[in-house]
Amino acid sequence: MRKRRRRYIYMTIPAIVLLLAFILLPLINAVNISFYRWNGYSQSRHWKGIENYTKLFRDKLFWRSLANTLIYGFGSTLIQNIGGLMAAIFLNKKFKGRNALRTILYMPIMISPFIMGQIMYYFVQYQGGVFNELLSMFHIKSIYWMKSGFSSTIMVTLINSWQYMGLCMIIYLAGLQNIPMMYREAARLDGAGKFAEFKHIVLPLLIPSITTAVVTNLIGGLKLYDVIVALSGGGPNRQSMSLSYYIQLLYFNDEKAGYASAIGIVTFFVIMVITLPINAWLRKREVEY
Amino acid sequence: MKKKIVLALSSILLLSLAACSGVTTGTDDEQQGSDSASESTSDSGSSSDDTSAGGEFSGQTIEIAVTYTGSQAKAFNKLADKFMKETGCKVNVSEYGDDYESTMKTRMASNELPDVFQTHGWSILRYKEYLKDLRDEDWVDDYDESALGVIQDDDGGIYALMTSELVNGTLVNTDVCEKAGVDPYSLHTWDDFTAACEKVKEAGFVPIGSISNPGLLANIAGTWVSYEGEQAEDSDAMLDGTWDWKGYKPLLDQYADWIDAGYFYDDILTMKDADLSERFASGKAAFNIGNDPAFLVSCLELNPDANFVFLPTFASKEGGKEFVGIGEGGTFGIFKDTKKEELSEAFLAFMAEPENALALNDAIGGVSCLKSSMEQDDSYALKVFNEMKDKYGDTDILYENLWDRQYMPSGMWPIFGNAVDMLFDDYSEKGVNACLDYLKENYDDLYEISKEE
Repeated sequence: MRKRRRRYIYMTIPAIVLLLAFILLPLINAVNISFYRWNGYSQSRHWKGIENYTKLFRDKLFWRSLANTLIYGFGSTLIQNIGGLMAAIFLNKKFKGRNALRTILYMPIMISPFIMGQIMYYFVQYQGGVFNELLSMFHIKSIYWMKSGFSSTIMVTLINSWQYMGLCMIIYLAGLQNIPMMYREAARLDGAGKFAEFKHIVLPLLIPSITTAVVTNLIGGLKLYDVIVALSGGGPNRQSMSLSYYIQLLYFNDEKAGYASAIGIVTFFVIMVITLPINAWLRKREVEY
Repeated sequence: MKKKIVLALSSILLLSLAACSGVTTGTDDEQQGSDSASESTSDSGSSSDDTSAGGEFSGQTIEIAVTYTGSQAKAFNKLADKFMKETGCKVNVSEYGDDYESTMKTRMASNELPDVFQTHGWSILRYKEYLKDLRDEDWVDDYDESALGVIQDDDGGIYALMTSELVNGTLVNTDVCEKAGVDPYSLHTWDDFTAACEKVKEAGFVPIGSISNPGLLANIAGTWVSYEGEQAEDSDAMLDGTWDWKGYKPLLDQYADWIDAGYFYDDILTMKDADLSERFASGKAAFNIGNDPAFLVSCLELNPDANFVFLPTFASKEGGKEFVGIGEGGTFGIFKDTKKEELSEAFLAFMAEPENALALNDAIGGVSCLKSSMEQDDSYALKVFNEMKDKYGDTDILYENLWDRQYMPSGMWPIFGNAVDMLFDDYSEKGVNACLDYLKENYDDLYEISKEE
């Protein structure tokens, strides 16, 4: 017994080493850097104590990026899950071309988010973009889709949601196919309508899938980066940045590595504070069958 | 329109297939043209076995990091191939593209830099502490005097080979000016320029075809606040850290007026570099300020029939200095801790040879600054530069290092970029003041750090 236990412990060593090397050590290093004024490349740093942390409370761009990050996180999660669930329910029925439709809906995930942003830029760009060209065919004036920070944020959210809706669809399809038919048939025998069957049978039994999809989407949305870089570049005037993009710009563009690290640490806690309770709440609602 | 939709849909399909197929990257020209970072052994036509067959540096390998992409990368790789054939070494060219600065900053932090790398305007302010002093190299004597002002530090140290210099000023699409009835060579002050912009706008074109970028505020600033006869001459205060930035406000006010008058693209804050070239090449805009002829070379690739000229940056008032900024063009330094010092030096010597320097300069739109290649330079950049000198024969033009490299502490360049974004977003009096406060706050901070270092 003890021998087997020791073997199990040995088997965790590679994972622990990787965790230490790529998560814990960089995290400790980031905490260390966050107390300095450092340009990110020079061999000299200047101790600033907690100044980088106090500064972020006065930084309008930090709050703006935080708000955008929450929009990206919750907005994308909402759209992807509603859209993905609807698609899954529809594609769980038997009809001709079902597999082709599933493939088409899943396809956007196979494209890198950065490339997706680049492609979608040609759709939403102000001069000569596909959407505006379509509008001009109906003699409608061009729309500057990314005119304000808010409209850019919405465009990014919609594009990200569309790209990853297929992932939710697959998760929900798997969940739907795992629900034993006998429960649904029993409900129908008891006279339940389609909506009642969905509300009282399907939805509770889908909670494990919802937990997986919501937490995955939420973390993905909160970390959103590539599509913003490619689509809006965080603009106009840095008003559509997510926290991760703001950190990157502060570190590499503005040469404020210490401040970027402080925001990174705060972001880490923000994501923890948001995702852990949601995960726990959803897990409580999971039912055994 | 149809083409665009088909192109977009085809891109989606092709990229999906590519994602599924899991193809590993090779070294063909298309990949070298990609904007994303890629590392390739530059050996179009010759394998590394061929190159290691003989030569002075047979069996050795160096890494060279460049910003080049597309046709510029293609030209550079040809030169790297030639160098390999001559020396028997192997050259790994790291094409970092848009990620160049981020990657180099990371590598500087870990003190693990490529053997040879481009310094792209920062050999002294940013990279000096990582570079070998090259003042004793043979090609140093070949430098034109104009280059030394840019490349040499106060102690006489030279940290990079500069095959070409960058000349910064005002770029003009003469096709647009002709239609608008504007004679570009009659422009000498910013007031002349503003009047010309109004004519261009009335003719239905965009007067200032620039993208929001740091150069808009930094590259033209000297003609407002530094040079002889301008609205302010605050250079000394800038250098001793006492500058209060009040003198800079008229420049921001001027921008606010231009924005208010509708002289820029409506989508200036979200458009991309590719849009800028396409629009300027196709004659949608008349002027591009604070830029260099390399941009014109890329425009000519899109529209070979377009006509452009190069002008100095204008003076802020009558009697002020018109200015041409001189910066680093094709510039390579050697990592001070490289283990391939001799081979790296050989590469720089190879690049300094007129034939090779000219091949690179032609591709990147730089003006030759090594005397041996200046005599043979027939590049487009030099052509428009010489045209400007001929037309401005009687005008006393100031040729000096780029303003921010001369008078601002290291780290201000991106700050100007953020500030100009702020200005385009809000050009009211409040916005202008916020922009000014932001510049001053960062200048004070960076100046303090530069003194501590």
